[in-house]
Amino acid sequence: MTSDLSIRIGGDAGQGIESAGAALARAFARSGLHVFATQDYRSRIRGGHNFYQVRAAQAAVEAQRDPPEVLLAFTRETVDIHIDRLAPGAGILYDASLPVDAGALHARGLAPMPVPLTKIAADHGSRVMTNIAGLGALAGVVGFPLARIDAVLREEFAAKGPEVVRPNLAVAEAARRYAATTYPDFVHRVPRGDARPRLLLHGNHALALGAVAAGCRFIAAYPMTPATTILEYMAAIGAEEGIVAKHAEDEIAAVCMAIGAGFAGARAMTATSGGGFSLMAEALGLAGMAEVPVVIVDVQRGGPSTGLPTRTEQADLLFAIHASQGEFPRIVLAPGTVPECFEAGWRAFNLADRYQCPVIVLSDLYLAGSLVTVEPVSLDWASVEVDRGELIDGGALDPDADGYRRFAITESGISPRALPGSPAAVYAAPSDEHTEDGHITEEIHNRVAMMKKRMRKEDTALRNSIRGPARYGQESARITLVCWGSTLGAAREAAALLSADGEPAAVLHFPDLWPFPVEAATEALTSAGLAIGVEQNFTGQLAKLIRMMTGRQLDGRILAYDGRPFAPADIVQAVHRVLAGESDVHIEPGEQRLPAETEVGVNV
Amino acid sequence: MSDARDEFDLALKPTWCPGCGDFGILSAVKDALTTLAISPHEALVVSGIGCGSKLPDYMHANGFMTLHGRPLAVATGAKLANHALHVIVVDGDGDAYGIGGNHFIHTVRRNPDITHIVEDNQIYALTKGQYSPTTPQGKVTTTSPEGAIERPVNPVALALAMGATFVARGFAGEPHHLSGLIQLAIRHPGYALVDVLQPCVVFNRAQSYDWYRQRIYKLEETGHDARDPAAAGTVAREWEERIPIGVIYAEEGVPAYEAQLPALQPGPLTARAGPSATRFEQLIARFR
Amino acid sequence: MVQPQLDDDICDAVQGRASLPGKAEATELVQGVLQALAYVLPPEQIAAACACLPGDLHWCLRCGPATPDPLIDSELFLGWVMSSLETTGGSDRTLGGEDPLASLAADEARYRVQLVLEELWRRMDAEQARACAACLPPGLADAVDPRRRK
Repeated sequence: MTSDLSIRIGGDAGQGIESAGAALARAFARSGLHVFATQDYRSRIRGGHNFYQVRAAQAAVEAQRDPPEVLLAFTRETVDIHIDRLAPGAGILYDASLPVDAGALHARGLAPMPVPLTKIAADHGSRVMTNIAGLGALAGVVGFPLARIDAVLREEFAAKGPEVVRPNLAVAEAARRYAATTYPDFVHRVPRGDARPRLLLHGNHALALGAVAAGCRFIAAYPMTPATTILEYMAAIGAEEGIVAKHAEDEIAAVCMAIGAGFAGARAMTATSGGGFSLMAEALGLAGMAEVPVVIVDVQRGGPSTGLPTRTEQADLLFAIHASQGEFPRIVLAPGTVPECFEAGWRAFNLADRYQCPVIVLSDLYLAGSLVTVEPVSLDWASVEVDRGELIDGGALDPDADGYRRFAITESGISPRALPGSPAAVYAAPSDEHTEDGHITEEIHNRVAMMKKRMRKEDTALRNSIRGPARYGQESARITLVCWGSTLGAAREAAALLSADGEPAAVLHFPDLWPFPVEAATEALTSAGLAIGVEQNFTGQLAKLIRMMTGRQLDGRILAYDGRPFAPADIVQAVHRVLAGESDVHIEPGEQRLPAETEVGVNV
Repeated sequence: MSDARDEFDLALKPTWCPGCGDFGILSAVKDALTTLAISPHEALVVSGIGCGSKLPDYMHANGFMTLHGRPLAVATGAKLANHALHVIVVDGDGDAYGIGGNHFIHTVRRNPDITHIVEDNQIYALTKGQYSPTTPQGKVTTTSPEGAIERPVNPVALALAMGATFVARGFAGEPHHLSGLIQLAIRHPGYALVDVLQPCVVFNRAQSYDWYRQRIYKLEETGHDARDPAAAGTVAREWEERIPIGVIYAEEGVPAYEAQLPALQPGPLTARAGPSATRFEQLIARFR
Repeated sequence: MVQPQLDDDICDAVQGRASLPGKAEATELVQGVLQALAYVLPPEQIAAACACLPGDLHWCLRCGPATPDPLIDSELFLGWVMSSLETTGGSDRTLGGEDPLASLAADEARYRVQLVLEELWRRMDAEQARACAACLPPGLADAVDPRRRK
């Protein structure tokens, strides 16, 4: 029995790939396996090849692993596309009616396992249940108890009634029986779980849960892949939890609504991807100037412009740090894992309130959409701190005093904030430069004092709240992989592989990117050995930032901008190229180009 | 003047040009709030960017001077966060009908309880004289040297087309009448547009006080039935020869956006903390 | 005190005192101020003012609302004459747009309003003039106090 199994399920969009994959992931997780499940899809509702990959392991996993040992193919194209990307001896389950050349698969050392999926579905339920037949067959060949999958399906279809549940379960069982009896000797078996309860969720849900735990009461957003599920989740629980989730007319409105809500005193956020974040740039400065706490989540995807709408990238870092005209304090966080998404979800609100400025949380499609098992303690309510900063009770102010100075100049740069609604705390916040009591002015001394006051907040944040890079792995590493965001998981596994291979490696991960933790970064990089940046962008944005802020030039850069998540093996291979003398390694496609004249070739 | 009216006064002298219609609008806003016995801390005046959007700077009330074109969105967020506040948006024709046109359309159909006062001077004044969305066709400005080509926006007709529940037009030269309209708008439980004909005595000399005086007539003196959508549609299209001011359309019984949100039934969001451990545990349990 | 001379044309007098090049401009100015007054004077004062002005100007004083608008301030009052004053100096070559002379024009507008009002007071008996002046918006009344006229 293997301790780590990867299964890929492929087919056309609209064939139920996602629902089958997610059901399998949940069933694995409930058996006590550690799961990492990710979807590879494109920006269309129907047609075009999609695949879903589920990794199940006995130890914690933080990234997908290639190549997979099992492929469940719902189309012949799926076999064609993935044939080069499977582990030796991998099993290929497919509908017996598909024109697949089993002999050719055998010749490549693969194990073709045709199952009459469509016929079984039609006989025991209906043809639309072919994906469920596939799941049943999968359970049969990898030796996974069907009861686990049945339980998930029952929940999935519960709302549709027993007349929908029953045939689905019958289809799954018939397919399982067929596959298990026809292919009893398939070598790749699913590992046994420890039966401990874990949560299975993706980064967007973790981030939203963090926000909810922090008392976020308002989200306004405009649907944009891959951020949409944050708004959808908040909308789904809004009525019961007392959260307003507003689908705004555009991202400008979304961020402005969040700023309005934040100004009035609710913990408020918006969530978007790079395109929407671009539209929010001007309003970011409004929050900076008017000192309004607001949380902006940018779930990055492949850019520029519409770019790769359903693929992952980390190319908004320098934009997030610099977006909007002029200079004002901001905080930029970049969680690397699903538990870190939860923490960033609540921590962002504390930082926004404490420093009365916009807080940007950079996530990415891979982190946002990959389902991962996490220990319940990682999303513990008790671990959540709620700190509203220097929020003062306007009712306690002296109404006869000389007027409330909302933008009072202080040593920390933070001005005690009263919410609108108290007679003694009446003020107007301008997006123009303003006096301490909020009146528009261009007076030179005031301008200089106000700029210093606002920018001091970044120093204060740096002193009191910003975290330096986290180090993972070997103590005396010869190689340090320097990364941010979701690259953490793959980098950690790569470092472990390198270390096991005799190259002691560590990972330096930056969870907080602005204000940049200069001292901590400098110190960490001093003892880093060969420092190699690993980023999903073309220009090495973190490496640039490090150089800009510390003067330290990283020794190498591993860069990917193909829209596909890093696999640990890619990074290991690239590190060897850096060790061999290349300073910049651009990840090249590992597989053969597909024939352009076929629909598959065009649409992949 | 009563003490109550002075509540909204500030010693700050507006930087508006002498004779600017904004003076009348400022007086009307302060008078309307005073008459309705709304205190400065109970009101939130949100503005955009432009001459008239400096209005919150010149009165004592909660205010937020936001970005060009965005005050409706900011105000919507503030209203949803604390619906106990009387939220009033004051912006210009460039803000509301130009750069913020999308927010205008969607705020109208969304129907939050926000009073929207548009200082419609048919010109970009703070940038010193370019044509605006409501500038008449043919008008020569620095950006339309051969005369404006586009047809002007008819804001009241547009608002009606988007399903507005309250549409009025006022005249900055008659602040007392305007105050009455603003009071009705504030009392209307939903989005209320008050488009204000505002002479710009420096950059739009054609639409002067006298020009408006010659054309405007008061709807309340004509027996206009503001509950009748067809009648509203007819008067909304009047311009040039005769320009109606007053309440063009008022629809009763439509609940405001925020009144329909279950999340707001227990009261304003600003007063509420996060979920209890038990509640949160229930949310987390769904991810098992 | 000199009795008002009703046959003395107020527009001619204003044109002369304000050094305006044309009668038309003077007439527009007088009409502007009278229209502004129409919005702030109660009916008796309107009637009193009409009594000392030629009939072709009465429409100006009768164009206002039925009752005076208490919210009109001195700034808004000036609006009625500002539109007939040249308020832009040319085009602004540094920042774009026109180059406003609004500030200079304001002084000129106030001066012209003062001239018209003085000419008007001159044509009314002192009691009536004082009553009219008392109805003017605060800032404006101080500037043209009929008791301080020559």
